[in-house]
Amino acid sequence: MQSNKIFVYEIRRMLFSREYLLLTLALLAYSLFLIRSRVMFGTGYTAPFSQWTFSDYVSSTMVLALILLVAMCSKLFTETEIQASSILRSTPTSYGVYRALRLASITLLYMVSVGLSAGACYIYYVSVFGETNWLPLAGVWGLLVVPSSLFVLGITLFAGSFSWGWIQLVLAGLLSLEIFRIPLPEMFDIRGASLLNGLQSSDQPFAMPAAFILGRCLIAGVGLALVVLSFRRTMGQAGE
Amino acid sequence: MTEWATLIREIRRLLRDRYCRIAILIAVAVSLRFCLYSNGRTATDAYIIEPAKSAAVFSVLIFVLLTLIQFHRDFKNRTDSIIFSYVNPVHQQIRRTIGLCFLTFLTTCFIAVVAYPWAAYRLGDYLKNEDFFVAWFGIFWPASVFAVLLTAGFYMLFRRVEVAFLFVAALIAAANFLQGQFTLNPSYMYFWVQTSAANFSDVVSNTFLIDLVWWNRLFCGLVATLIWLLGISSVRRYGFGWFHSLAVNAKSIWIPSCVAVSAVAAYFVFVYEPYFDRSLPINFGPVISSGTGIATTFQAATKPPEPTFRLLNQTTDVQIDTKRRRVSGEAIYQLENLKGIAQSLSFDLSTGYSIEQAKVNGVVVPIVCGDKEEMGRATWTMQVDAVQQIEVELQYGGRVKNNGALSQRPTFGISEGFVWLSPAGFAPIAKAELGKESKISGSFSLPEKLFPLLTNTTPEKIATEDGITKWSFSLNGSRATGVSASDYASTKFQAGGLDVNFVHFSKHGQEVESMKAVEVMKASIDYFTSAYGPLPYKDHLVMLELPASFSGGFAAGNTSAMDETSFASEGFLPQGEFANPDGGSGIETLVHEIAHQWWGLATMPVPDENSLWTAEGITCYSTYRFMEEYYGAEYATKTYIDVWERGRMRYENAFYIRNPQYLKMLSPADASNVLGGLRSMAIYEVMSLQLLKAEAACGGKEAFQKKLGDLYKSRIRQPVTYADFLAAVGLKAEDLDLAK
Repeated sequence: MQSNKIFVYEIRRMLFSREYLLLTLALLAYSLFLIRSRVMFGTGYTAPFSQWTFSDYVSSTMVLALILLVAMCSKLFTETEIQASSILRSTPTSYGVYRALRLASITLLYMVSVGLSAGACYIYYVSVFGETNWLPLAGVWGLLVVPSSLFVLGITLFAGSFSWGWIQLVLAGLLSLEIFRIPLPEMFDIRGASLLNGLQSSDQPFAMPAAFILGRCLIAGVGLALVVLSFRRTMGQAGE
Repeated sequence: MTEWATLIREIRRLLRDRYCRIAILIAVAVSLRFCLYSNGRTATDAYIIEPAKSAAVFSVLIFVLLTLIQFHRDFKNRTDSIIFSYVNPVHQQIRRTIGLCFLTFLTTCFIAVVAYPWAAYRLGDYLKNEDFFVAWFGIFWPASVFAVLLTAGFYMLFRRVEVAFLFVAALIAAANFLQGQFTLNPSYMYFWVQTSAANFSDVVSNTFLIDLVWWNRLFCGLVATLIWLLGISSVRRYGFGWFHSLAVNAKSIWIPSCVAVSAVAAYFVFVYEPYFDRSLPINFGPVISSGTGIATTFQAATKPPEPTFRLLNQTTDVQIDTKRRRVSGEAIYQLENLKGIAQSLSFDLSTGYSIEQAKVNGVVVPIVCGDKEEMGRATWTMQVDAVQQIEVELQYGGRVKNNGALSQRPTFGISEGFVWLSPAGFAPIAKAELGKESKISGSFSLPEKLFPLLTNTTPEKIATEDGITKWSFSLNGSRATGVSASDYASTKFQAGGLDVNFVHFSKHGQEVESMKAVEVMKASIDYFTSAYGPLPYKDHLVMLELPASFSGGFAAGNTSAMDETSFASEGFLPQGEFANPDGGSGIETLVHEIAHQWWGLATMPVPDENSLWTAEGITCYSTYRFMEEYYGAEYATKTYIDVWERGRMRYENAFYIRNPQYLKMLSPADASNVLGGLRSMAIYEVMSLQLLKAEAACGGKEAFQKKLGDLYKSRIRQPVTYADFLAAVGLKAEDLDLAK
């Protein structure tokens, strides 16, 4: 019961924070811009609702979504938060549970934001083209969003367990990745844009190369390991 | 502590602030990214103007957020009541605004320090410091300052972060939206973030474009200051609401005074905008476009009004002052009053000019300007007595204005490096019949370094004194001439039975030489003349290079003009193999533009909804045939046919082409956008292949070229429909179907 209350409270706290609202708004605005300027035309002359176009759309919004995730995670490591931890440790709720609840609330709200972005595109497909087949799109979305998010979440939490300043470096790295269009090897392509390298002709059926899938599994695994590692580190620092 | 010391302390605090440092870092990083990756039609656009414009959008967003953070911090921390109890809240907000504006300046300086060497490296001799300064300190920096002023203003007015953010976001969106609304022809003064700067020339002065940037900044700066001052007037006093605080603030008389001054100044700056006139909207009904960017007007012959005067002689003496950017002149007209009664006589004169004195037979008479401005001209009217022979003397002058009804792009004007005046901007044009024996002559003076070109005649140099050269001219068969002048270099050669005078900007000399432009031009004009027929010019042809701002080409009199991008060896637009040749550069583009002399200018292929027929397909086909002859079949096949085939595959496999029913699900505007992109691919590539198929059906290259030649010769100065083409080659539309 106590955990439920904390979870709901944390969600409300994060939901109404300026960073979350503004970045979600920016993500949605960018999504709508992409729908009008890219999705409508269809990537590589494929259908606007093809998996090619949808994966192009998701990978285009990816970095902005990951910035939102980093911004939300950075709240876990602010000076105020560290100062409050001594008070929190004196409450009956375990500090570990508290941290896990906060992380869960961040994850949930992040998924809501990226879900809204994907949902906007899906609503466009349904309302304009009458295309309701969501399952193939959900598969593409899952394979693009989840591993990248896990990876960045892991890196952010791990960097934050050292210092808040390291999170800013992660943020700067993400920005640089987008701003300077730094090419990443296919195995570590957190944007997922390399999937489109295989698109040669507009009538080509959608397919994910094995190397791409392997890369997604790899970054998801690394991300998960970093999440666990950082959690243990933070608990160790808190003396639990 | 003095106000100055407090300001310095506020700036230091801002410089230490974490958010400010991050904001500067992001703004600099984003701007440098745009420096590396932007593109444009010219090198100046690609490496200077476009990076500054794109970076301005990001910088505006960053400084909007930073301003909100800084202005809201006291209220968020609930320290406002403490701070404002010992400092004047109005002064505190002014200091904060100045501090943030200083940060924008610092950011711009950081960017400039890195961007300048990069631009110098990429542009070489084409770098003009003025363009660089305008880009970063005329476009980027003011946009960031306006973001600070507007955000601070709205925040102080409403004292709500989200409301202020929404207001500024709406203004950004409105500026962005208006920039794409060509049919509304919105004033360039509204584009407060990016301005209307585009198509900057590498080779001549961009003064006309730069004028617009500075006037835009003046207007937007005044409006942003006005909103900020309204915010300052609304700074809440402790314990008071908005209205009571306004009353208290108004006691400092400078605040309402500044509000009034900036409001009045913004009004006058808007109303008395000096570069565009108030020409009536243009009727595009009789205009035919070939899809090349070149438009021609074909109108049914209307009965001309009965002439009331006949022009016998006209002498003009014009001074073109490039320093003051003004024209002054005197024109003397000898006219015959055909009706012999007292009646009015009118002159067309460019807007922006005025007639200072008018004399009829030596007597000063009043002359009035009509209310109506049309196509960049105003009509001046005077009354003349019932005498047969009259001599009219006009003294006129002013600074030329451009047609405000036409896309707010400056064409005509005077700058130190470039002059372009329309016929009505050179001398007043009498509304009178031109007699067979009429003599129209005159002289004009220009700085020595500028070489003039007149549309209907060739000027002759008289003398040079104190750096000013006087030129004379006389017209034969036309009543007026426009003039362009720049640091031109000229090469004369013979091609297609014409004496061709190729006039290009001196600064492009090396490019013209390295791409062997003269050789290619000569060979291509000879080839197209022998294949299709001679161009409809008398005796000689002037091939004139225009600044990039003209964005296209034209043919008038004996002049055929194309903008500087045709003579650039390197393209700065993203190049794809299906890129529009009219927007590219290099020899392929140069020959393509020359081929447009036959298809698009001398004849006007008219697009229709049922076919891919435009001037582009037949121009691409003609270019291919020339390239085959010039560089050989292997080169032409690889560069043209293979590319067209790939384009055709792309086009035919495109989802919307295979499934046209989905186009109907889009709104008409969206469907038109989607089809527009596909159609532009089809008119260049698919149509060219259709012409190759027509060639095969006609029995080969020679037979087909001959039929095209017959079509060309029979339709000179006339529209050519798809039906005309099919009839000329003796084929049906089905014969050109690539699927068969």
